[in-house]
Amino acid sequence: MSDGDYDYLIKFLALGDSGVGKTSLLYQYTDGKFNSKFITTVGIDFREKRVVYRPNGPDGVGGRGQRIHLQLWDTAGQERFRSLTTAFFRDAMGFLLLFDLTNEQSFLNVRNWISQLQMHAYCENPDIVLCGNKSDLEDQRMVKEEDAKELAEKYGIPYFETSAANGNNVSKAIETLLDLIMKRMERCVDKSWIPEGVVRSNGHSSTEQLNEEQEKGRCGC
Amino acid sequence: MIDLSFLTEEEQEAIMKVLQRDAELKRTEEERVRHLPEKVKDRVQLKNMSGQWFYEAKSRRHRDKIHGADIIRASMRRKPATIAEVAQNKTSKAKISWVNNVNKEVFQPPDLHGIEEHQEEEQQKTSWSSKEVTPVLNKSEERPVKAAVSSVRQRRNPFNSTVSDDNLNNGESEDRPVIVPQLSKKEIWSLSEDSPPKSNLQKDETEKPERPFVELTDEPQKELVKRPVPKARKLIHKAADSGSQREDLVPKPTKQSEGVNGIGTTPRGILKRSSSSSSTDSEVRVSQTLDVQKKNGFATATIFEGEGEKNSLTEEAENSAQNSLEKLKQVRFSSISGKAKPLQSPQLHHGKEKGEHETLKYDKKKNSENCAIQSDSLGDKQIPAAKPLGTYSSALKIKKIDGLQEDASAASPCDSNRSDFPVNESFQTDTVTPKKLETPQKTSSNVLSNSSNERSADKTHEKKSNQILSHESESHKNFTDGHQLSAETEAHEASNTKSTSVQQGSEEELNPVLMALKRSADRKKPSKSLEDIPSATSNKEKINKPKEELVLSAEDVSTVTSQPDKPFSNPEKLKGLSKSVPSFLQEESDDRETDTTSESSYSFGRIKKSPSSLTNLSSSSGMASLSSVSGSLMSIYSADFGNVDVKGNIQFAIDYVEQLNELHIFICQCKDLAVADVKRQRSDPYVKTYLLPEKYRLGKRKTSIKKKTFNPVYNEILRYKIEKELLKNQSLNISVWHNDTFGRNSFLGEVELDLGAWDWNDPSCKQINWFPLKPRTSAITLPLENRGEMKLALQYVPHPIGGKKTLSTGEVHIWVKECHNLPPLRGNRLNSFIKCTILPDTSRKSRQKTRTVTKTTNPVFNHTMVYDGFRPEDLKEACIELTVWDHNKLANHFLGGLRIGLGTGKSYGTTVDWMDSTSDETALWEKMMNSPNTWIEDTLPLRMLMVAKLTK
Repeated sequence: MSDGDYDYLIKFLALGDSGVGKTSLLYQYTDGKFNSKFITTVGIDFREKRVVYRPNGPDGVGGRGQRIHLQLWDTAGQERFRSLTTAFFRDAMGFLLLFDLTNEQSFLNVRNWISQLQMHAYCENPDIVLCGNKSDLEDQRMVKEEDAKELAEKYGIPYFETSAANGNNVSKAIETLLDLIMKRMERCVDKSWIPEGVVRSNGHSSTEQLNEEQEKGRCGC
Repeated sequence: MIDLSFLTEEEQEAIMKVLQRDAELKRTEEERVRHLPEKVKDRVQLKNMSGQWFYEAKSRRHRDKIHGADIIRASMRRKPATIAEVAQNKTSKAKISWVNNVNKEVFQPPDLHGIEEHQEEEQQKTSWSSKEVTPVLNKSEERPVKAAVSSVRQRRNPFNSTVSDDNLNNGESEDRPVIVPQLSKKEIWSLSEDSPPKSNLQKDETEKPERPFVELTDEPQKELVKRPVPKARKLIHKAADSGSQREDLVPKPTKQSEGVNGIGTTPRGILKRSSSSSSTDSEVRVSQTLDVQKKNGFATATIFEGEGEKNSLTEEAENSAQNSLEKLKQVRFSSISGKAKPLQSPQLHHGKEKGEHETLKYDKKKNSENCAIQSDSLGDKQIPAAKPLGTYSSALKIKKIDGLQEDASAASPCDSNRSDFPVNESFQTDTVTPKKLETPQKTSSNVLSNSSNERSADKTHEKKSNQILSHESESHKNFTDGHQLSAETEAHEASNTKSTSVQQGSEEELNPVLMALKRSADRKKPSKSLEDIPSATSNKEKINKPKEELVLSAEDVSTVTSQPDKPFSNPEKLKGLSKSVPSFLQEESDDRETDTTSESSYSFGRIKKSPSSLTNLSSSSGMASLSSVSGSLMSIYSADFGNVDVKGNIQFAIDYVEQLNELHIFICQCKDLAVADVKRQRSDPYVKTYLLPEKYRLGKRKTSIKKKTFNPVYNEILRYKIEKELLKNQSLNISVWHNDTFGRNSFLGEVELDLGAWDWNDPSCKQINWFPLKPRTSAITLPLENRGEMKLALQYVPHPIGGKKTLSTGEVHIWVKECHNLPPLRGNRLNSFIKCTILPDTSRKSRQKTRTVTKTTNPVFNHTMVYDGFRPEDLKEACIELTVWDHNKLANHFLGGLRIGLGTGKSYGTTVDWMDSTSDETALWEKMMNSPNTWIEDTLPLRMLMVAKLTK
């Protein structure tokens, strides 16, 4: 799958309680398929996908496309694999934090996951996108959208209601995360010493407001 | 390493496959990165595309560059080391060390970083030269960074716009050679591919963790520790497999295995050993530590590894063992609450700094002190069920309950109190464990899971191990105490009155400290809090209460651990047990999650939280919480300006980056810093900045810690996101600190710049300059400016009317009248309240506070607090700590405080840092002492204090 013919290797990691649909979401994203059968992930797994990232210039004109190789780590939500999965946190550049909209506990545990991330990730405030999965099961919904949004806002992270079953918002969530990462990358490689023009030429992409929020937290890099 | 033995074979296989795929991807990536420089000329671009930006960020946090995948891989292959293997390791040590050196950059097991660093230095030139081998593999890019490390090169100022990319690179990187991890990986791979049966990679991984044991062959005990480890783990997981899934959490099973290991096999042996340890021979005690380690199995052992390394103490294994022992002791004491406690904490605290001799002395002292008590409590032990003479005896009780009579009896006559502690602790743990399974103890399991997570995955975060330890011990205690509690509560109810009388009987023989403590513990309700009533004590109420109080507080404690905020039904109680622990822990204390700073004191504080409340609870033992006093003195800021003579210079530059709205502080280096650790002739300096006053709460920024150097080179940029306008009212405080893993960090000097006067447009202001470090003048960080003042009156009532019997103890009345001109932290919306503690007792019971007076900087409280149990001579040893806080929903902010006492620096013969009253404060206290039954009023300026951390 990977032939090295890409510009960036970006590593994400999906985490969240067991059964919230991490594997399914990634499967939907990479393969566009859905399997309703619950197969618990053994420890750790990953999927890959090649995408093209096109940051928008300040004038709205798309910049040069960058070929991204995504490595999407899938972790076991089960407690017993916890020590194993957390070891992988440090290698991910961004995180998809999932909970199950039909399972309130999984939502309540989001906090714990975030603190786990803050503890184990490569920096104290890694980029995270919160996904309330299984949005297709509207009739079984246990978590209010406002509540989830509020929580996400509290942490200053984007929130999406996704459905691995019908693919709703799945790529959007992951692309948002990618966008955050690319932005962070630009920030990390410090441009403060570089004349203004250079900074500009790197361009800014569309989700400016998200970025704003992220900026509030100190850049950990 | 992570313990993965819980994985089934199939699972291991599946995971290995995933890792294989990952390895392939990595190889591709390495290949790509290697060719990148040919295509991409722009350095920034290159950094992005190679992922170096990420690895740099990561390495700032996780000092190693290990991939999680590699950790897992290594962990899975790892087999329990047999004795033979250990021996083999020993013999092959020489060969390995070269390999290790070469690979150092690649595989630096984080836990061992300190050790390795040390070894590096020991090997001196050799290692340097072999180190040089590594970079050859790296692209030129890394060269300059290295050079910057080895030769302190004058740097170009990044704030000058002519800066080249090179500089940028340097500024961003740490002093440790930055190697593109992919490239390093390459090495590993080639190694592992080449190597015969067991790949080098694996060897490296498996062996490195053992290296400290292997290399330090003169410390055989280390090996002793090592060996039992795998065993314990095995046991754990047998147990775990059969148990529920939750049992997979590492620490829990560990305890289970203790149950099997400790009790099942050698209870007597353990006892014997530890009782022999009551001798002051340090050797013996080391072995005792080991004993404990063994019993605690893997968990403790790991922690020890971490610790030893952290302090870089492994070089003096003796020392480290000593230290860890101390640590253990602290942990134990706080939970067990022997009678000997009072002096313990302060002494331990100092002992920490002064080294082992202090501890020895201390032990002796304590032993002798406790002879009397010992005999007392022994007497009681024989009738264990009836008289709960404190936790000590109740611990024994538990033993009995669990049918371990033999141990209990073995423990009795000749054991000194001190040696009992570890034993008891372990027994408690042991014996309780089986119970634990039956009793749903939510808290403990939560804590456990926390700690397990942290520990297993974070062994690599060397810095955290301290915290982990605390977690670990906390969890130990949580359930030990839980059970103790349940046993105890009953006993309390049954024999409330009895215990009191017993206590009073023994009181006469005790030394003053104990007595004082006893008295304070005797105060069933320590003090009355009366609002708007200047004086008047309500002794009746007090007398009526005791029984109920005891039982109640037992309940309280059990809830404290699980849900500290649970409101109590009894409003009266609420008053007494105010639980507004200021959150300066999170806010201001100098602990970093990722660094060691003042973590030890932090963790002690945490350890003590629940246990010491338990201690207090079992107040029939007469054990107040003196122990927890100065050990957990926490500073709001970094504290301990200690005795280090400030010297040296710091080189830095500052700039405001308009595009980013950021203030950048480029910390280059320091020169000729003071020696912080005189004993070991070293300093581990880091630089910290604050924007003052802390109006915008931007907090501190820190550089990395450079170990063992007086001339650290940082080249790090610290940033604040802040509007330029706002900087006008700010000053930038740059301070240099020695990072002490166990003790407090010591202050090495500071520079303060008034940013209001700063001309950002003047290029000369952007230049890198040397600044002489200055000693901290007075009030910490926050300028001495007016913190406001407090009007109050004190009165000593030697013979309170209506007191029970004709006790020779009096009461201290504190009438907090009002405050003036409190510093308005948030405009004039200041909601202030005052908290009062009588040191040395920091227990929750000793804490009182006023109501919160809202929205004024001149609050009127008119609140009288009464503390009883003071003999005239106690007044000389005690100190009233009054602190003013701004009450906020999320956190209370410290505004200022007073410490009213004699300011002698000592309490009951122990040096304490809170006896630091100013002359005004001292004068007030003296007046009060000299004119009993009279209100002495004064208005005193509030000052910055290192607030004694209140135990719950």
